[in-house]
Amino acid sequence: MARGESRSSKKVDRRARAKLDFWIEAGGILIFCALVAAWFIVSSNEPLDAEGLAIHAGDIRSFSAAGALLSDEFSHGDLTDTFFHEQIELIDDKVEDIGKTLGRSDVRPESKSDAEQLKTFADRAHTTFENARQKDNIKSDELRQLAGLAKALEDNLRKEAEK
Amino acid sequence: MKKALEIFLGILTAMGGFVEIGELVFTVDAGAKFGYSLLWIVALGTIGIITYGEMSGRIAAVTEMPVFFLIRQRAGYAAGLATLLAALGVSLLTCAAEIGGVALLLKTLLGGNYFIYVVLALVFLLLVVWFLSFQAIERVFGLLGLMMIVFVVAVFYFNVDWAQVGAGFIPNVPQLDTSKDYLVYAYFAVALLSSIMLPYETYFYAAGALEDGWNASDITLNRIIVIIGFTFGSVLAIALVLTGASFFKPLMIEPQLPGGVALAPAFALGKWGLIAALVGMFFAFGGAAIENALSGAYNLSHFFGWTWGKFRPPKDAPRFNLSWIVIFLLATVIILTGVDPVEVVEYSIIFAVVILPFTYFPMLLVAQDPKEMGPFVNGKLANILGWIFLILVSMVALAAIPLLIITNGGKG
Amino acid sequence: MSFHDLDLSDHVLDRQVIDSNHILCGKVDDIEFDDTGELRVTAILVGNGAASERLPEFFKYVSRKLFGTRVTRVSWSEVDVITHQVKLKSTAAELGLDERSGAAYGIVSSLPSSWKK
Repeated sequence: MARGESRSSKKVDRRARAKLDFWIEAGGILIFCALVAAWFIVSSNEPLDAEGLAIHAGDIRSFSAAGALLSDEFSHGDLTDTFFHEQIELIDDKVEDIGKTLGRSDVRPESKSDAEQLKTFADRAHTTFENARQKDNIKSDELRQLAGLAKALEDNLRKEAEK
Repeated sequence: MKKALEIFLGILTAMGGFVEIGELVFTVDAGAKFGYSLLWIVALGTIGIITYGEMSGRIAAVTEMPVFFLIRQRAGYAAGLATLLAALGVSLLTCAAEIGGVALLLKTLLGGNYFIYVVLALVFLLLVVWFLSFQAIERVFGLLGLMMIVFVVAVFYFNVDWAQVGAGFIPNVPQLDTSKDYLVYAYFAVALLSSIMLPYETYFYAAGALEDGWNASDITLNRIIVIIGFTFGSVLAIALVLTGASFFKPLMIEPQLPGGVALAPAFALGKWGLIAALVGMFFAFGGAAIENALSGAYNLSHFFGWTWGKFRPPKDAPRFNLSWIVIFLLATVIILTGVDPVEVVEYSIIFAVVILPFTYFPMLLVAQDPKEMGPFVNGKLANILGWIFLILVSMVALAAIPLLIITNGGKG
Repeated sequence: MSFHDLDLSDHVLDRQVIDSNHILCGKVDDIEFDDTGELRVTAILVGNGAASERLPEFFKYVSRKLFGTRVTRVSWSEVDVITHQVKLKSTAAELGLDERSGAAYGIVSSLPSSWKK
């Protein structure tokens, strides 16, 4: 009888322990997920600073330069019509997205003028690509110039961010 | 003669299957950002994948045990299950990225709506895996993926600084402008290493050895295929770094679209260079999508002990076959949400490195255990390299996610 | 290896189970003992109900909700040979371990050419 009682009390202990473990593990996972979600929300709502702007500047630099290269190769007959138009469309979509992001994001006060300048670059690149989508004419010099301007701004922003 | 042909085709297949969308993006970008200075990581990663690829093939041939047999046996059910789920997550993301890559390539080749091509890519891949044998899939996609060799040819048209190339193979950290640039360099080193040593490559290679019915007599075949095939494959990866460094960097371009990378062979070889590059990428990405979906199905089957294999009629291995179908479908759903495939692969590659130590450790334990391997146990060189790379990937695994966050996914 | 020096956790637990026709039919997810006298093995257990017992409590709960609690008990006397696999004396169908009775089989076998290699 005594042996039976001790067995059943051990069983109860084990069940209680399992229940406690369950809630500790569930709580741990919940806290972890909440922390990740909070970090994600906070970081995506943070106003753009020099570092964030430098990333966008780098993208505009790269896309503009790629557009200029596409144009050159297309005029040399190295690309198919479909490839040229589809690549322009894909790049244009990316540039348009950057412009929209810059337009709707909060920017730190000290980076406002840089953000405005960058938005102008994005809009100019978008207009150039859109023209290229409609006509077969792409102004590669304009894009090359834009790439240079974006590169200069990107370098300045990176130095600013480093400070 | 038959054996020689098998070795030859095996080497070409391993070479053609070496590059997938993640490796393409990271290698070209690494060159465009840091010139030739990350070449040593390509060499390091190649030695690593040769070491563990050879081990996984040898273990499979000798013990008939694929990777997730070993993981469960050595790590136990709970830790093994955690590794399995992580590996499945990485395979799913990589498969999604490859399907997106295939759709992007079809769009740039033929024009039209991207999302329609995503669905068409899914249908194509499902039909290929359902109707073709394992060997036919391996050969068709591996051999046609070899068209990416145009990147190697194109390099000779660019202004490559060969002295710098040589210096790039010696471990180095270049002089960079800001402290953030050093972190981005570290991020690229980690990503490049991971993209070359992706864990699915060992899962798939070992499963392939079992599908082909390898036994202890195939140890030499295994060694030759792994060493020569992966070394030649790394030549393609090196060519991609050189393309980034000598063609895209001076033009200030960091290609973010797979099609954009093809501008380099187009510049060097004209329209046919472009088409060969796009077709090569199509088969390389398609092959990687299949390898990831099948790897997921193999891993599940090996872990839970289900009947598996492409060599059986599908109805005799129902769970295995349903698994790869479901992985393809889920991967397509991910891509149909409109997420950028290149972004997906960047995450999958970083998460992949985290599971590398959990994949390699059980493999190393078995390969150096004479009770399991008999006379085919690891030699001194395999043991030394095995431990060096295990320590290396463990350190890299710890650094991977912090670097991903701090560098905004390598953007600075 | 004789049964006298058998290390259960090393040589039986988590090993592949194959039936008398060499058909794969799961893993040894747990081992059942009789502890009323001399401790002895009575059966191997296959199925998520047994495997999930080896997970931490929360994950055990999730695993059971997702994949059920089915356990197939295979009497120890059914075990034929233990190598790197555990070979049984009967067929998977006789022991209730046949894959070709579940939902996956229903879906896959209804697809065209599912009988072809």
